[in-house]
Amino acid sequence: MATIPMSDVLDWRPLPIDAQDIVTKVRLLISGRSSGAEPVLLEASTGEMDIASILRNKLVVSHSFVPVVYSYTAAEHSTYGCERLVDLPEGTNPFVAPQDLDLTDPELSGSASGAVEEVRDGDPETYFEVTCEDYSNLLLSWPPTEGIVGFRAMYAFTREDQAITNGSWSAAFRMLHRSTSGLSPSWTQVVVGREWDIPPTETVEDLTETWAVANYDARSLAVNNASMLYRRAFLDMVLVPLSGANFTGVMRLYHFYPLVLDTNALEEVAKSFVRLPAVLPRRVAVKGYVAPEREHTITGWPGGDYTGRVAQVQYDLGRTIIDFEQAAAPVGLPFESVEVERARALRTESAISAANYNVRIGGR
Amino acid sequence: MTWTVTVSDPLNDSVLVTCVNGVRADNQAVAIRGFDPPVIVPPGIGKVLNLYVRQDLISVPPRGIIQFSMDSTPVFWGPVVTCPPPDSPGAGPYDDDRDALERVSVVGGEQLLRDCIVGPRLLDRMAMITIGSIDVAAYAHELCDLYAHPALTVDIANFPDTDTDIDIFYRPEGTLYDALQKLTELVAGGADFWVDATGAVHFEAVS
Repeated sequence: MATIPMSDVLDWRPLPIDAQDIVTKVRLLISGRSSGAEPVLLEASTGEMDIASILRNKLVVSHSFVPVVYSYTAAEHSTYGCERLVDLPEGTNPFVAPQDLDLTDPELSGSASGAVEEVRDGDPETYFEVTCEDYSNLLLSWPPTEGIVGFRAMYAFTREDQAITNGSWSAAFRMLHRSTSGLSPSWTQVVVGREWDIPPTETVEDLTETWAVANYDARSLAVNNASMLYRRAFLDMVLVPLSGANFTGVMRLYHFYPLVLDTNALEEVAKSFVRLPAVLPRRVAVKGYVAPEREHTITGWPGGDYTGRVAQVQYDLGRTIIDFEQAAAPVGLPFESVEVERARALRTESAISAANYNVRIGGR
Repeated sequence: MTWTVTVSDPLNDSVLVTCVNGVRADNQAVAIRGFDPPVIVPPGIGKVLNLYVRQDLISVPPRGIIQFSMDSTPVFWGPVVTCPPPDSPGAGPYDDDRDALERVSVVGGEQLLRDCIVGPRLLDRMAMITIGSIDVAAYAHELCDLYAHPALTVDIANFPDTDTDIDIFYRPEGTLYDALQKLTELVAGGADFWVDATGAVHFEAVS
């Protein structure tokens, strides 16, 4: 940052304010469609749970995925009302680390026991281990919560069927997104259930990783269905032998946790996309050479020292022309040349965005 | 022959200044020197309107809404995308780039359709039967009603039936402009959408 004395300022003029590209509400797109591992089972349905907890009038519907989006509204939105969808920058992790999740440890069913907390300690060296033949079925479930948008797992899983088995067994990660009209039956509900296979690994030392993004069905949202007041998502792992057959094998689960959006980190990212019109953009011509730094202060400016963010710098013989807050046309060109360029750039961006819609959000 | 310019805040909630023939109606200050004839494309898409103002007398805010009428007929409506800085006293004939220091450029209201994002409203047969119609115009009206920029006016009378029915429309997280564009492609024979000279959204089949 350079400090420029007022005596070095040759002349200055105000610049017109460019208000074409304003963003006061940012919708940060995390995932426009389900991604990651493909579930072997996906079913969306509506129905009614009666007072005896029996499901009635179940209707299977085609799933309309709700894009996973983080929305940030700047204070200026009540002035301008301009909204924009932006992609999450590559390399940003939008999810909370497992050890920081605001959820209690998952629970084991029945008489099973073990170091369950290892699946969420974020440590790739520690694991929760279970020997399958010890149990006829095993359920490891996370406490239900609204904001689960996926899961991540790292595991090793060996299994050997016994010689005489009359069926297969199932090992699966399961997720359910449910919205209901009440907190206890009877209620009407919209449910999306998904199940992912857990393929075995060669040995108990071979690790493999899997993850997926999943979300509610659009019918779960109040805008589509005013009676849907409560939403909860469930995540669990199940090892169930069918037909009473036993199986042996070892499951070592190093990571198994839900993906929940990290709103603190995402808010910082979203803020960087807010665009407001410049307040007092100026073009100041200064004697000599001034380096193109991000900010300059002019001491002795009438009304108090002026500190401004530099948008553009031009160099002429013996002087530097600095545009503060907003770039204007190069010296000698009319401001229209900037406006034409800006309109063309926005049109191109808009055309690219419309063409990419199916890739980002998915064909409907 | 009179021309009237009404300046409102960016959300079109309140009128800030009204000028008749360039003279402010409240304090008689001569705030607008002149205008370039506005450019409009059929059936009503506004392209551009330029006004030459003394910003210190009129204070047009960036993104303010301008309503331009001639002889009481509305001719152009849209948001300001270029305006002089707040204290600019206009420009004299020897100012270089004088045009940039006194020009207020207004684009058509369609810009505001690009500034709103459609949410996850699922319009399937069930939802539209509840609304009362499965015509494409009914889908367009429902989306505009929910997601249009607050400065725009959405009136069902401006969404006449197109005689084309569709079963489902779900296009979350696209701009409202893109969603309406997609809907026009579904109408047999084509359709147009635009924001008229009073700020109302229209969706009509090409007849």
